[in-house]
Amino acid sequence: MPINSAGLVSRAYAVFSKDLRLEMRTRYAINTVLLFSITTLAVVSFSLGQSSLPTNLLASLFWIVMFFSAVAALAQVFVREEESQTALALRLTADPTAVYLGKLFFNLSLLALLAIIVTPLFFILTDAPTGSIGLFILVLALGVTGLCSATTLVAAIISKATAKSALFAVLCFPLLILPLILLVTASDLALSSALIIDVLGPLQALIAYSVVMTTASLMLFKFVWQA
Amino acid sequence: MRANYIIGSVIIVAFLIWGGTSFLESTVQYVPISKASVSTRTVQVIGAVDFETVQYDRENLRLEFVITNPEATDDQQTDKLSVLYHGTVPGNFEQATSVVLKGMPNEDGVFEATQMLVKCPSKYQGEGGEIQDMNKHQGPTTDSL
Repeated sequence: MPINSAGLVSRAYAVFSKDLRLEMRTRYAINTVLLFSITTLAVVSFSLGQSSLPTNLLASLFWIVMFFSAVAALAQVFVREEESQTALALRLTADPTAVYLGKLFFNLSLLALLAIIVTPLFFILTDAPTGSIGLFILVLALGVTGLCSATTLVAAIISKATAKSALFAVLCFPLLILPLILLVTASDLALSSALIIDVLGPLQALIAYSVVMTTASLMLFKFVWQA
Repeated sequence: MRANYIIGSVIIVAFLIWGGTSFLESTVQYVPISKASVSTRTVQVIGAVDFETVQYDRENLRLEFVITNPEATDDQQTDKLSVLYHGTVPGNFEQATSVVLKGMPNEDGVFEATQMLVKCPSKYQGEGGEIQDMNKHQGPTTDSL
């Protein structure tokens, strides 16, 4: 039976707005993410004092904060469904593709919110050199999409497991190590005032990673969801 | 359903190949100056610009200079490498503490750089060498660049 594409978008949006409303009521994920990132930045800034770090260390610090915030908060979308036992109702009412797209957009919004809050704080607290800010933001956007596209499927996989958070970190690590290396390289170049032509290699690889991960997740999600 | 899977697999394979090649291209080796002059593939080398040897041909956009080992203690004994760079010079070239060059040496032994990245000091100090601070220090501070 053919999927009506307009219907798909509105169904995905319905899943997304349900998660958004739930999140606004309790704000668990947002608080976790913000608490972790702001604490880390405050500690680092405190220890740095007047001196500044070289750009490769700053870049890796930034993506460490993003990665751990992602691992702390991005599994929530599916784990919360299982724990509050609404997963069965969701399975009955929405088709897998709409569920996946809604959850993916929720994770994207969460990580985008984190990025918007963390980036100015990062530049202020660590006194990072403001090289090519536009390029840094572009790298950040690609990084957020890459991280989310990989972690959403893994979140669905571990939502029915026992040791959820540990398993989530373990499964995410091999998937995320590749984009993290690329992101640190690209951010390092962006902080050192590189031109976009210098960063084309990592940027292309990051775009390819996001596309591959999202396509694979779309294809595989049906089996994970209805396992 | 079949068609969806085929399309999806084609997209995945295509982007894997595209991403893989760009990933492999972006991992270029860092080599010391001594190896860069004899390398046969594209490498990256980092060095301090010897500003007395800089020659800039504005019409042809050719920049020639010599780089030295930035960590060398003895000025006479350090490795030197002649570099030729085509293209526009970044604005902060004059204040560069070191440059990163990507390229390979040509037949004359001159390192032809396809890309140049200029590393500048992270703090720009005033003329007196003091960091302007809310708590005014009596003398110049000892903060490093």
